[in-house]
Amino acid sequence: MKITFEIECGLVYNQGPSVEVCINDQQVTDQTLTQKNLLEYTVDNSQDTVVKIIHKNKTDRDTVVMDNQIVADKWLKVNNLWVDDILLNNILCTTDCADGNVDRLKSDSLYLNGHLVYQFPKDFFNWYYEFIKNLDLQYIKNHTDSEAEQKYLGYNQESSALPEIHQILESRGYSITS
Amino acid sequence: MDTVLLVNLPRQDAERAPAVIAGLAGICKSIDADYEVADLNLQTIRAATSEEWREFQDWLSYFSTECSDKILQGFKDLVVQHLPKQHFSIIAVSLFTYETIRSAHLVLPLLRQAYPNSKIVVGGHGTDFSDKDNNNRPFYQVVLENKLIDAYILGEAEASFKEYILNYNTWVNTSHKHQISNLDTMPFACYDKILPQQYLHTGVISTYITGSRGCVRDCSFCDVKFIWDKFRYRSAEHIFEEILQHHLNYGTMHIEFTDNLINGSLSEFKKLNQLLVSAHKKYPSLKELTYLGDFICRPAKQFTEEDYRLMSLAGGKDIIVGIETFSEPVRYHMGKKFSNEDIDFHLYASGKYGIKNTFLMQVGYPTETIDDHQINLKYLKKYQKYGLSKVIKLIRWGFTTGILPGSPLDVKFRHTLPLVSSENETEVYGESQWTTPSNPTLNYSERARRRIELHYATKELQYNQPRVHDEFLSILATLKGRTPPKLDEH
Repeated sequence: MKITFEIECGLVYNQGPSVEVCINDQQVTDQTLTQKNLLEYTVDNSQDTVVKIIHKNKTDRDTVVMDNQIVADKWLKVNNLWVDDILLNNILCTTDCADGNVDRLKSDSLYLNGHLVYQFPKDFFNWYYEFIKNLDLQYIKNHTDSEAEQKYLGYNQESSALPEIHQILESRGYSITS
Repeated sequence: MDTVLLVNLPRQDAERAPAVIAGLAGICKSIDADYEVADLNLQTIRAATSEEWREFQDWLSYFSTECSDKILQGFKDLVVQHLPKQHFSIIAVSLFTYETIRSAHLVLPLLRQAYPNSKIVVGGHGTDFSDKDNNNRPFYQVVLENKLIDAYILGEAEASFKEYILNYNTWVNTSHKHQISNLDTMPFACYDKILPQQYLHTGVISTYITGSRGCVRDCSFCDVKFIWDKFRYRSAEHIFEEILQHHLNYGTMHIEFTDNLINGSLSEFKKLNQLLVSAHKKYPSLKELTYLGDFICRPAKQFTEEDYRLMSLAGGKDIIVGIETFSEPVRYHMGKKFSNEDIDFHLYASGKYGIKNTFLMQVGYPTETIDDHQINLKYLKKYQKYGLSKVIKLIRWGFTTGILPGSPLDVKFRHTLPLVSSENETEVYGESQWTTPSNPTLNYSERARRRIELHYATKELQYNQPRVHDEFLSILATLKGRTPPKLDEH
């Protein structure tokens, strides 16, 4: 399975942040990023994968302040994430900054030293389907609009007419592979 | 100055303010004619309980032959209550589809009574529709004879509405179907008196836009070419200006295009996306605007990856695509000239740029062999990741292929394939009970069998499907030799 991150960075004197990427605790990248970056990795979809994007070595000198205004800063932001070329919402990450703050509300940016954590459960797209389904069920529970109706119908594919259709077709010599 | 009352009738959706009424309001505004709006559809939906609305709309949609006196009287009382108490020179009643005919029969006498000195004019698709309760005669003839209307406008009534307002005393009814030759000459829709936020929107303010009429294709199963002879489209600049106006005036954040194909005119569609993206700098809130529309899958050389990227940036993140079948020979016979490689590319590009697709499919097209059916099953597996990730957010197999009156299947292929009506055919919607000697095993039972098989495969692979119960009720009724309920094909 291919995972691609599109990362945008803030530069100071034309230099981006220092970043390490670890997959399941194994370092796979250690580099200084530029303004626009595409980082691509192939992982084994038969097991869980955790990708850590670590922003490191940021010092006071990496934030340039003039007249009480930040005029240049090293930061990074994951603008897009693709799994097998499919763009996914930013739902997979949590942020853990070096100062001990843990933002479980999900962020895609690091302005301080710290790391973004992306978790890809095994058999990823089946997991993703269930994840979205749960979000949709919550939406259906709390809304009565046409979107809720569409979502409801999308998941509720039973029909009381089916047994009778089976019966009629079978009586006419047709068999259905289900 | 002459004043106009614009009347909107049930049954219609009320997710968004009615586009036709907004269009007519725009025409009134363009000639400084005072107007008011009576949206009886919205008022009815608001006043009725869900059970009452269901019973009423089933009757309006001809699903049922009767509706309780209580509901009918309640509707008439509501109409009287909501008609403005002032004089109007013109009462313009929009008959959006055949589903407004029965309500028009209830409303027109009340309008005549409330405004005895006004001219009543009707227009819209329902105007010349067969009135099933009156020996299938065209609706306008029935109500004209009963002196419930003074005038009617066939075809695109907006084309002649301005002329009618200016000359209503000397207007001569004609069977000519009016058509707008240049859509760019139409004034923008005006929602001043039907504010979009009053409607049953889904969290965002949403309005309709019509970018084109007719279709660039002539698909064999479709009757659009029969209804709209000529494809006409607005310039990208004209559409963009209207979108911007609705966005700035009404806070519109979502557009639903009524076009048969939003990318019918490829050059204008690409230009529209460029205009929307270019406007982000000046109007940052446009970045959040999204649009929904029917889209035709095209070869990659015609609609490139960069075009998909731009479409997504412009807000085109939700499209409805008539793929119809994964069998190339069947699709080519339909007149849809895109390959399976083009579908591969379409899904790749949709996935890459976050565009969700609703696939409209068909089962049992007259040339569909059992091998073609197997190809459909095979491609469901192939594209499963797009279903799981919601790049294909819905896949609709619908009913089995029917022969729509006026479609090429009806007019051309009925004789060449040929298509033969089954012996037990009665009045079956869409003439679904055909057979053809050129594909003799594909009778209705076999089509139903394939439909059910695809249902199970689609469900097992965890694609979302809409409205299967309605479709299966219809198939069951047809298998039993009964007239199935009339439902929208797509």
